[in-house]
Amino acid sequence: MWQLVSGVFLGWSLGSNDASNVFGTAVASRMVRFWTAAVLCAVFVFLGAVFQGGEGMATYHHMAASGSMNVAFVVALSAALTVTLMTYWGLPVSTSQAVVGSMVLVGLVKGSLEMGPLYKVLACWVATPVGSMLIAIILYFLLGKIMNLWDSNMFVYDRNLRIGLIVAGSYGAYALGANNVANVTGVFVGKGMLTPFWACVIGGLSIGLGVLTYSHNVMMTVGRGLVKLDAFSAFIVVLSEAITVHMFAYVGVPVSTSQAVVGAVLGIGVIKGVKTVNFKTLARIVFGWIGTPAISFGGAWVLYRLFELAGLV
Amino acid sequence: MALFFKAQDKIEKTIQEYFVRVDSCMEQFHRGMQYEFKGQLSGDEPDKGETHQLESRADDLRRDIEMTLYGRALLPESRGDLLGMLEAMDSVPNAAETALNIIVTERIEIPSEYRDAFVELLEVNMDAYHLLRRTAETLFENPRQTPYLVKEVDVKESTSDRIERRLIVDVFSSDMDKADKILLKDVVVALGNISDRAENAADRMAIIAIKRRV
Repeated sequence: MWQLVSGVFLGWSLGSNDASNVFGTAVASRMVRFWTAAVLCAVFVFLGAVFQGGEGMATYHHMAASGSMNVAFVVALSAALTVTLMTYWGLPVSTSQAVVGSMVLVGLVKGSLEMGPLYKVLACWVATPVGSMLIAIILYFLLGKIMNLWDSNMFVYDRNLRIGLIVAGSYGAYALGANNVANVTGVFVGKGMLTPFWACVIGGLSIGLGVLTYSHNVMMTVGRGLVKLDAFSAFIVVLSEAITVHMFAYVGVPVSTSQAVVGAVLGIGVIKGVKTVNFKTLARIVFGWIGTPAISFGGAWVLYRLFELAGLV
Repeated sequence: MALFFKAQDKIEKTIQEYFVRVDSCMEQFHRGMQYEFKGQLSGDEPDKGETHQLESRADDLRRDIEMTLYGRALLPESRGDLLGMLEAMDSVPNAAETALNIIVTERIEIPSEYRDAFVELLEVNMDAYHLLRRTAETLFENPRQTPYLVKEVDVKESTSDRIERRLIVDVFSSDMDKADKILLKDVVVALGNISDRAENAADRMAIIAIKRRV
């Protein structure tokens, strides 16, 4: 049972990193207080994990079918260390890529890498930013028309958008929990250590804990550094990200909320011109994406060798 | 949800109070100027110091609003828009106070042959202010109408410019002492500043109204 510590650690690091993608813009621009956002995010992440987190568990169950509990520990610990490192640097990264990076290493070492589920995951990674971009473009036009018909004064406009940001952020948190909980404890379900329900509960709680204790730094990076969006565009970005990630929760593939956000921001950029994207920060984030699976892969290799030397795997 | 918008509700109320105070200040200025131009024909002599007091009280409210805005009320882009609008709006009673001060402190007497033109200039500038107030109301009630009223403020400002130029030409064509001519010109320019600043404030309101269309 002690091996679960690495899963909880991974959940904590996921929560601290990914909360920025649902409430980062609102908190950094002081539209919503950090603690309001953090509590809402933690609650909805937990609800999403418990009610809809089961699909992703099945995908990781197939990918992590071989190896012992200690192998699951290595996978989760390596991913957690990677994400924590990236969070420390203030980079929003993909936990899914960290977990899959570790899983691929273990699969290669043990000669049990299943390509079917891996291809499915990779296809979904590519589809995430593209889908989010398309959803953002559609939503921008549709909701923009509704906003214009409403003809509200600046206070009503403000109120509507702030409510929209809180609702979309909460929905995004729900989708994050539903989609990403498998990253946290899915590998333990694959080893038969946890039932899917308890994996969702423990995963949801650990992500929520990460949101509450360590998400402030990345929230500020995402909110201030990545985009210079007006409030309506920020609302569209969060909503598009939430819808995209929620759709992949139904498909059962954990995807990156960071990639969904960047896709949506690019969608806004297509409509309004590229000035919505800060390329310097974007480059840092792309570096984080490449670095995440690579570091996790390397970390898993080191941990696996250490465990092998100790005769634990 | 009401909890999230406490500061916003406070700002909405304070802005309405601020507008009422600016109205009082401008009305007091109007009465003071009428008395200067028409003498006792306009009624009893108003307390000219009251214009300054009312302007100061409006300033206090504006600072209150700014302090609340520096907190967490409203979206960031709205905070900037509102601060800019309030500062532009505040410059109108400032201009009125300056015009009244020039007349009172420099003891300028308007020669009888120019009084009608000065009254006309005063009324056009007060009209510009009243239109600005209506523009502000539409901004909070029916923003689609805001740009139309902004055009009306612009028309009044142009009318004021024409009267100013005519008056200055007339004054400098007269046999008056040069120093008196310059003093009268100062009053003309100070009065014209009211509609200039009203136009600036109205332009800001138009931007606020248009910016919120997606």
